[in-house]
Amino acid sequence: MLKTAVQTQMIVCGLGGQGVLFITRLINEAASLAGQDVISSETHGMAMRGGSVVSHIRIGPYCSPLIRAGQADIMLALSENDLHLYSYLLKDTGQIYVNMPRPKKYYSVNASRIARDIGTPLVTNLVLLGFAAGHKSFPLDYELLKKVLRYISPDKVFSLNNQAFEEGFKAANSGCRNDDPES
Amino acid sequence: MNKHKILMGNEAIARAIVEQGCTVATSYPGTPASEILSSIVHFMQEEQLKIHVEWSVNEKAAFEVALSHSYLGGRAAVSMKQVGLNVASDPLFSSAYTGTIGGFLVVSADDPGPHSSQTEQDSRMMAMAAKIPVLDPISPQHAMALVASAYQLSEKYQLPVMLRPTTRVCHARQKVALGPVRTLKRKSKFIREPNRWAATPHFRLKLHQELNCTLKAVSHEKSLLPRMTIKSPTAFTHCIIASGAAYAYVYDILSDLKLLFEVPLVHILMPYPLAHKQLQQMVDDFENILVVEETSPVIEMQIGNRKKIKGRLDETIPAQGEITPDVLFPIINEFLKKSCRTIKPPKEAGQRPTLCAGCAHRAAFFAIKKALPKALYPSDIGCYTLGINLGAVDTCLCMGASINQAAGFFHSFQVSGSEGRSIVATIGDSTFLHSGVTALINAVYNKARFILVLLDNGTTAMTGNQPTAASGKLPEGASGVSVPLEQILNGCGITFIRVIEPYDIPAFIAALTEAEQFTRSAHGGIAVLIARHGCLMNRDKLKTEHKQNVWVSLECTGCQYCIKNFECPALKFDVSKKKVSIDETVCIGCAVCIHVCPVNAIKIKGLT
Repeated sequence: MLKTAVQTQMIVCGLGGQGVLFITRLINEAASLAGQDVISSETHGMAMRGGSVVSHIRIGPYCSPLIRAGQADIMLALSENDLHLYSYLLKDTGQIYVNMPRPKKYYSVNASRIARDIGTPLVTNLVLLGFAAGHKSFPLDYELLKKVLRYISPDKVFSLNNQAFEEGFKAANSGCRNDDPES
Repeated sequence: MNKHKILMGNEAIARAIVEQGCTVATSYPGTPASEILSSIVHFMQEEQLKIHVEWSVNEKAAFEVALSHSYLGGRAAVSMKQVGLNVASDPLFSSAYTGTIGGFLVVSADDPGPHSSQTEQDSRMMAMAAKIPVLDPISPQHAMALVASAYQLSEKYQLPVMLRPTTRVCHARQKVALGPVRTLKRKSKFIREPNRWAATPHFRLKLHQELNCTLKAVSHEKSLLPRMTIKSPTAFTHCIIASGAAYAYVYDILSDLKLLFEVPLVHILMPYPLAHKQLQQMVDDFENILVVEETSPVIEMQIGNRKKIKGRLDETIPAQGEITPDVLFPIINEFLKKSCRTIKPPKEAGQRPTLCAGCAHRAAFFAIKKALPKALYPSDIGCYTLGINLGAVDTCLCMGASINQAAGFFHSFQVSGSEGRSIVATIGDSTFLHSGVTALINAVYNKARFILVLLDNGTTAMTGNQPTAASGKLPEGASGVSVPLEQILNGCGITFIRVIEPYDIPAFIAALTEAEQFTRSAHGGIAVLIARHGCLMNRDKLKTEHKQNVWVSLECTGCQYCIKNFECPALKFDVSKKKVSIDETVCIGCAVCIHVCPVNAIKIKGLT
């Protein structure tokens, strides 16, 4: 079930190939499963060739998929740089969940490092989402997201996806900040 | 049945096309319309239906194939991006006169912004110029409803009908209601009517007159008349007219401002033919009227009395660019004489797009720059337009233009006596098949001389790896008949053809030198190099690649030549160490970069 607000506006950003679209789909399906209306917008085409990619997700009775500046409740950023690009979309009270090598401000986690330890950087996106879902203030339920992850993951990669999502969740609850000693 | 599903706009359009009993669907891929045809294939297979689906070689072919099915009474759909409609404009204009029998839906997806196009043109203008009705959906769910309306309209009036979604509809995902799939079981039959299907100019005049009468009747279609959010709006002074995705933005902004019940909002579902009189009557009593639409002022221009109208024409709304909610918010506030806080996005740009790590186009461009650094480089539309980052793309006009421009530059140099500069044109395999073949015949026939590098990655990469005629694969996965590029080149009169593996930089440079000599020899002409290497976005192809372990030795001087001239995403500059390193999470092990480093510091592990 959706834990808190009925209406939530969310930004997911990263670089092309980092899996922004996959977690956008996951959040969409989870919101829908919780009985909410949902509409989102995403980047395609040339921008996807390694360029910056952003998704807008609006849960609730919205007509258009785009979030206005200063209106987003939540932001999931797969890299620190994207944070600077898109944080103008956040409300003053908006929450940021970000993947960064030396977590400090915001709700931050070294998702890249955790993903690498699992075996592939391709699941960085799911580590970050699991991490976000591990916070009380995140509006989508961990178990609900997990259920959706099961049916939208191709069989071959499900266990890896699931592990990434669980590790992210654990990182949020252990309070461990996963500093990267190398960088 | 009222099942709900989250669908992307293009999937929703595809679903509605299938639900409406369409049995021939054609397309040429182009962002933001590409996913429509592949989604039709998906729903066709899921529902076990018989539909002829095809990735046509270009939009004109796609249009004419689908139109022909409608001539025989079946329901047909053709989808493309807005610039694709330019290519299909010849049959578009003519078919408005001949009309259709079975419902014929033309989906032309616009790209205000533009996000992934060479223009911001408005397909609704094209519908108006061609004189066919056009419907403007606000969201995926709305697009589904309008596909149904379009088929009804098309069959009632025997006209092609256009659906004009924009990027924000095509690439939105929304929870939508699925409907039942209709199977119409119509037998295709041709009823001779030469004065219509093969009309001479004399009969064309008559058809034009009939078309004008039909359009008048269409504009009065009850279900598509302008609608207003407030039933008795006499108490208000301001009114907004909007259509398409822009309507959704206005609606949400008014909702945010809690003004939905104070500012009457008129929704235009069919911008052409517009119900002028009804609209004029609806808005006549307001003091101030704002028209919000993308991208051209199509509705605004059709309003006769524009004294009280604000919009794109008086530049209340900028005359170019996407109308995002952020653009619109201050405009609506000012129109309503309200103050608002505006937040500006940061000026710094995001990471610019680049060719993928291991992309063979990058290798080809590097070899071209190395072999013929002073050449003029006409290029074309596709991933390889990103060769601009490598300084190997000088022009990019429209599909197939690289070859015509190479010929044009050659003749221009000749006629002005400034010959001497080499010309190396680049074009992808799919773009070549789309509109490069006739260009090449023209260039050969008119004795142009240049080098053409056909970047053959065996697919339409930029738009999501749709199959090409050369690959011979069909959209549903079956095999069709392959049309090999070498045979086409032969048929076009090309005598110099070399197939090169672009990863082999030294061999490529040697081939370019030989090609250059051919273009300048007594009996020379156009030299074509086919740079053949599969696209790595295709995972099966990626698995078969020979992966080599590449590393950067201490000999690296930190000059960053490789980063500036090769721009592989796997090459990273370490600022603290002042050396380049390989990001192994990105590197695919093609080892092309070992040819790039000026001091040979990039090496293959195990080799000295």
